[in-house]
Amino acid sequence: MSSVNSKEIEVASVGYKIAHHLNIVLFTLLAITGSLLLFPDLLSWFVYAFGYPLASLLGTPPVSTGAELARTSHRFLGIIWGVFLLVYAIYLIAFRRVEVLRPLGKPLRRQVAEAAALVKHYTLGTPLPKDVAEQLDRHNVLVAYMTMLLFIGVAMLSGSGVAIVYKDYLGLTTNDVRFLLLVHDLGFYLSLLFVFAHLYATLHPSNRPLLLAMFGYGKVSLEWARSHMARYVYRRGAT
Amino acid sequence: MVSVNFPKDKGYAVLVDLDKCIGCRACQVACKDWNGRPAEVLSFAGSLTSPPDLTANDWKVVFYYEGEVRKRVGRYSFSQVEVAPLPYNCLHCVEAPCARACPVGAIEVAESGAVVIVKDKCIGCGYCLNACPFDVPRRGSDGKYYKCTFCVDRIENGMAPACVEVCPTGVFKFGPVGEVAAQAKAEAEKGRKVYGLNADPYVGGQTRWMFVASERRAFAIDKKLPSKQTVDAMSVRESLAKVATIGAPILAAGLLVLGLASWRKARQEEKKE
Repeated sequence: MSSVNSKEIEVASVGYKIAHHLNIVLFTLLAITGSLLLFPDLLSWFVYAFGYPLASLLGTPPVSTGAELARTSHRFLGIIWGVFLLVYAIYLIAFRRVEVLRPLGKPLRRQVAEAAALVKHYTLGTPLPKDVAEQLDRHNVLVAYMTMLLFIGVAMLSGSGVAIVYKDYLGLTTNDVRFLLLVHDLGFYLSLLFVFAHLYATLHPSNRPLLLAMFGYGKVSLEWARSHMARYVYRRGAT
Repeated sequence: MVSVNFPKDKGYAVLVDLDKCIGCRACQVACKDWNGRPAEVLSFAGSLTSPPDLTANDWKVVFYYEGEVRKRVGRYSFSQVEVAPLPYNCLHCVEAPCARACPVGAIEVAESGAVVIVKDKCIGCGYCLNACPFDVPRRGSDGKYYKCTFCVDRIENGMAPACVEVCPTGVFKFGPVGEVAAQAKAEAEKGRKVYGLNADPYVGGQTRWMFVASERRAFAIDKKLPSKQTVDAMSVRESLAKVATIGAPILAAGLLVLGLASWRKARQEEKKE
């Protein structure tokens, strides 16, 4: 890639950033519209506000209108996100761009040591041991684990979501739908765990350059990269 | 999950005595008549039960079951086929899971204990059917869900439900929930099979429509009504939602504190440098 120069190194390509931003927007919208149905008691005020404008035009109850809008848009957004994820997955696999799971190729003992050191670093501020820091790639082992969690969550969400929407065509029984709703909920909770961990990690001071790169022009200083993703810098030949 | 005020010990209940039922379907017709549900032309489906199940226009259906029962005459005992009709409608659970599941609060619970779907509020999501252990609510052609209303318009004006009033053999004992429950308990003590009195906590421990039958017709209860009144998947969903409602803010707050501590530490180190 042409982005490597003496002072900076690219950590997020334009395509990667577009995909990431689309994921943020669609996941957030899906989480909000889904939560309105999952936690109606907690979010009834929001459902009311969401449905009020259309309800005032149609003369229908605002909460029902809000929930109906949420339900309809949840399905619509879900389909858009599903199509996008499929296209992006095909692109990543076809062009061998799956970087995030690279740390899983390390021996298990090293993975565990890296994960433990990273958890201590992120929660207690303990500096990373030198041997761990030297082996850090573009994505660390915790990111790989969290990605696996997200993958399972999204697979549960999308599989159950599609089946629920097309339950009549698929000839599913009420019991099947009940089970699928449970799977959908579990998928959401798993994805939510990922979001919490991801937000924590990205807002952590040691990852500030990475956050700025993702929402900026995709590059971090080579000096920072050497101390936070040494192996990646070495692979890119920018040492 | 939606918070609903359930009038647990107040309101009305019905005890359905299957031994008295002659299967005349007067209750089924009275239900349609009072609630203005249209009649439909059906073809014979190989069973006396017609229509074969509850529909959006048939909120009460008499089901017919055949069972082999042991009878005794003097010293002789023999087996005989018995036909048992079972008039079936919404059981109006004391803590109706359908009302808890409805995301728009379209299922209201009246002071009388009647669990009623408010048509104008219903968005047709089907969460009520998913939550119901008795598979009662049915989707109508307009996409909304329908079921028995316990004749809420009648009972709140001092009348008995239409099906109760029309029954020629007094199958239905209608009254305050405490009295009806006491009668059901007394029948259970006599050795008759009672359904709905000691139900699962998922439905509030009791249903407002309870069934009683002697050994002669108890098989109808076993065949029609589920042995447990919990929808496991929905029960787990309710529990998870409760945990998430409390757990997610706690987790977020915990991570926020850790994050702020990290930022403070980083700032102090920057100052030192």
